[in-house]
Amino acid sequence: MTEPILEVENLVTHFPIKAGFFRRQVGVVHAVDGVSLAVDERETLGIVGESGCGKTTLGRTILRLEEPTSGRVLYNGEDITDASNERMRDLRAELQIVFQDPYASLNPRHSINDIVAEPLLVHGWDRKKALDKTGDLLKAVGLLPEHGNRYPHEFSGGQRQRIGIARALALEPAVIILDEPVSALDVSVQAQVINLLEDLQDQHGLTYLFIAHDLSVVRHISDRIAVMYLGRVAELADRDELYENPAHPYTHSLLSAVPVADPDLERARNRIVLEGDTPSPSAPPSGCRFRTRCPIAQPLCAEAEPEFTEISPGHFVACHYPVPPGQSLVDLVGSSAAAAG
Amino acid sequence: MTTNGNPVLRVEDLSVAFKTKHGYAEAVRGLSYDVMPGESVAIVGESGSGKSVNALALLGLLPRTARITGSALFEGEELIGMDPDTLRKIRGRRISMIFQDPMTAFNPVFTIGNQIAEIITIHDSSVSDNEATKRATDLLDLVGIPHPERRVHQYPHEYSGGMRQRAMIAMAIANSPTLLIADEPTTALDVTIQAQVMETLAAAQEETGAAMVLITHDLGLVAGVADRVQVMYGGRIFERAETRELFYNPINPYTRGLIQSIPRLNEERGVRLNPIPGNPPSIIRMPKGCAFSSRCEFRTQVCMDQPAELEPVTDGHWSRCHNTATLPPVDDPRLIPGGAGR
Repeated sequence: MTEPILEVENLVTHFPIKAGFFRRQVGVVHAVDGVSLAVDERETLGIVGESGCGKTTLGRTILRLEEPTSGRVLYNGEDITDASNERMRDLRAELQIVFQDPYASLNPRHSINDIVAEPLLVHGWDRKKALDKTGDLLKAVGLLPEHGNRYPHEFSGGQRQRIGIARALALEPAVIILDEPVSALDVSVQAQVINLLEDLQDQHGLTYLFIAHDLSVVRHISDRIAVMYLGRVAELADRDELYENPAHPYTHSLLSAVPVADPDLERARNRIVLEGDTPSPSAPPSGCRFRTRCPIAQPLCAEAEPEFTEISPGHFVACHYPVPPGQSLVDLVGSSAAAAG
Repeated sequence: MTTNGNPVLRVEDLSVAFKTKHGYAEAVRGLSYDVMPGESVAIVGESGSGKSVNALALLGLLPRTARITGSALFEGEELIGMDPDTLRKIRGRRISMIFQDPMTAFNPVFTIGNQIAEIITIHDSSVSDNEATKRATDLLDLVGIPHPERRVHQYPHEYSGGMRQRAMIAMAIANSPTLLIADEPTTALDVTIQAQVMETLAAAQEETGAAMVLITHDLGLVAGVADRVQVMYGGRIFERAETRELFYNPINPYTRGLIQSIPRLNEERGVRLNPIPGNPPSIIRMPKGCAFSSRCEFRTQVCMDQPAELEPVTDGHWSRCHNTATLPPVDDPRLIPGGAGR
């Protein structure tokens, strides 16, 4: 096995909650609460989860846009958690990010050339060379070099997201963190951007961390997928394994909740509808964090936090009672209800 | 669903235009459709297709600067041009609307219970306040709000997004309407909460027997709940059919493109998406011919020159395309029933 290009070890990011006149700390948001992951070179690791699960904070902490509370981030074996600001600036040439909102992430007063060339200028390129490169980058993402003289408001959402991608590519990074890159786009345009991301990965040998809430999109683009719930990874597996043999009850419920554009399939499905809402990340439940909504929770789940265990090669799950391969949670819920009744 | 009897809603040649500095921009252009009693009709489209503007126009919720023409008969009464007082009596009683964003739809300074009770008493002054609050509690219970007797006295900010959306459904069915209009009812919600809300909506529709117009961009939602689907593009209906027919035998090139653009949950590794090139047209600069012509792989000269008409292709299946007769058959295995596997 080769060394992973990016490793995250037991990463924790907590945000203090401050209140009152003296801004005293009254609590802690456990945004990321002990996440360990490894990403191989040229791989796409998908991170899925619902709002508040910590997926965005995880991406931002890897780039040190948020400071980790504890744990380590290793890039090519180098611990970057304590890297100096100068070292971080160099590293950010290799680790880039594309943000979700193509309307908020581009400065409306800068021309597209300025926006895309900015990272180059920050890293000491001369202006002439940087502008030449900008033209090439715009072509690479399916725009025209002439577009460089225009301003963000002249572009549609899909085109803006292409500009954000061009900016991320400028310094020829090795790793790009894509934080919900297609969520704000219309379906027909979303598919264009996904295809572009796949092509760029092939051409430039990129490694992606693809953060999204849409399970169909994540399955489409990822090699492996991590499912997050309340700051932790609930399950991690190869994309097909995760969708065909999900082991965590949360993964089961997520998959069963996604509507599919196929009427016969959609109407024949036995859907598991979870009760209630996700608990607040400032007061995660004891033991397993999913137990308050889990349809098959047992007394043990409230007492002990489940270990993240490898149940088959490359397939990890944090659950005391993982669903056996080939079984559906619906059957288990049925039998446990029958046993209880 | 039965299709005999009179439609609850009959929209005919509805057009909506907004004044801009470049003249009027037509957001909805000559829209006609029927909704039968108890039926669920989905209106699908991307941003700017006119799907939401159509609903706001029916309910008189557009700003006065909007120019609305055409007709919309609700149980035989003309809604377009109706005086605001009469329309207000219909809205919230016989027609209810569920909006995308439940945070802005509730008034933050009144309790949820007050707001549901108000809907009841405003349309029926014989109901006492106590009685209305009790009805509100029952309605919250019906839509699955836990501890309704306590929750009824809480304010909107004390509810989570999913609960607010259910409370809005409770409010929408408070007066047993005959028509529910749901505009992107689950778009702001997480997927597990979306499943809860769609279940609640289906139960509410069953409880009241109301017809529903579901406005959404999500073909997955449509596949699960709609009896019939209308696909909108550039302010017009491009295709209309029963749900199975539309998904498994799409005729219009835009519908085909839309279905082929969606990544599937149960898809093989390495399948490449087949996106529609280009972007949806801007309503300010609508092309002269067919609105989809600049993005269509099957376009011919006539498509660039003149708009196509919505025409019946088979019984109940309509498409707006000049080239219906010469389009190749659908060969994408994903468009065949059960072809997607599982």
